[in-house]
Amino acid sequence: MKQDEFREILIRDLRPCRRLASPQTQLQRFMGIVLVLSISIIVFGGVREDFAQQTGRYSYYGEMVGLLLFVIAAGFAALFLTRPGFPVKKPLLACTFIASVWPLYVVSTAPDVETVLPHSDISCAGLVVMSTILFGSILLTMLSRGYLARPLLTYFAGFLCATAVGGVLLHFVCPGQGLHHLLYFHLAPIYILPVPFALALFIWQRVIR
Amino acid sequence: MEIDEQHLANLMSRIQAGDGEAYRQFLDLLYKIIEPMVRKRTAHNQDDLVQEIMFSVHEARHTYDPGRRFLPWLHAIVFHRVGDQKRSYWRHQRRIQAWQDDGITSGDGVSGAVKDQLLSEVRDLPETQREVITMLKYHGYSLVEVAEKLGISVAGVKNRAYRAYQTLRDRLTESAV
Repeated sequence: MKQDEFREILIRDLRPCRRLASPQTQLQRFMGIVLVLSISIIVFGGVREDFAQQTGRYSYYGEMVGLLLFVIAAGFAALFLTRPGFPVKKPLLACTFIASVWPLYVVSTAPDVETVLPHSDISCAGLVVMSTILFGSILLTMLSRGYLARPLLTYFAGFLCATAVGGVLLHFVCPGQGLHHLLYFHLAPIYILPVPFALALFIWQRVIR
Repeated sequence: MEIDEQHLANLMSRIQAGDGEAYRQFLDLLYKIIEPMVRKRTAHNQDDLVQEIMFSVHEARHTYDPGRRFLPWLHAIVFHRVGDQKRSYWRHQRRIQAWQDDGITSGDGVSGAVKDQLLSEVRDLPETQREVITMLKYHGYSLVEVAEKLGISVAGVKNRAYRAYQTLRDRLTESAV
């Protein structure tokens, strides 16, 4: 097609558009939704039986802060990736750093003995899966308004953020403290689940688009 | 060519508000900026690539933040599209090489029997898929042109083309077995 005709098509197609909100604003909105839904899930599912005791442990707060930083770094990485020209290196590096350090912290502060309080391995993994689907869908809806130059990496960061939210929820509902339980049913799903979810979405998007 | 980044940023703000005159000016300037960039970076399908980049800029115009610099935003889109085109070109070349190795094509193109079979399968495609394939592959229209002519979105054209390729692949594979 000639350049002139092409320009005319673009000009005819021009409509006023709503400017994309800044990544900070979008992350605030996402965190607001996460807060409301998380409170509902915790109220519905019930707080862990030893919650009062846990609030006296410094490591409990340490893990919580680490997870929240993980959520924020992954969320920023995903949102920055959808803005052409944004410096994505910083949030990606922050995300990678937290993702590397946080399991070491969890392992080093885990109690030696398995908790006697009742908890279910499967329901912990299930909660992370549910969180990935629920919060991942919300975040990816926000991300889809941007420009996906690197879709696979963006989806991965988005789902990582969603699974990390699942990790925060587990902190409130699961009393399991054994190293085996923490490693295989709290940590592993957070790191592993984003891979198949991001790949599936990437392949599905290629088929559709 | 000297680029007035602030002027482009101002034009972009007006474009986001739907100002057609600003868009006309912007597209003229945009062409002058990206055309040499594309010529420097790739030797294949340069005109198509320039249009693809302009279309991407059109689609991504809401992601530009007037508080930030314009050129890094534009460069990110240009590099993404150039990289995409290069990957697609080499994928295409590898496929042609594989077809030549399998005897499906010669240096002159698809062999006679395969061409006849392919044409017959294209005729049997559902109407919506056939018209997209014919416009893209026979008439050589771009995705944007097909979308404009059929009154559907570019994603819709891609979707129909994908379904058509899938149907053709399945049928040709079946007949080869």
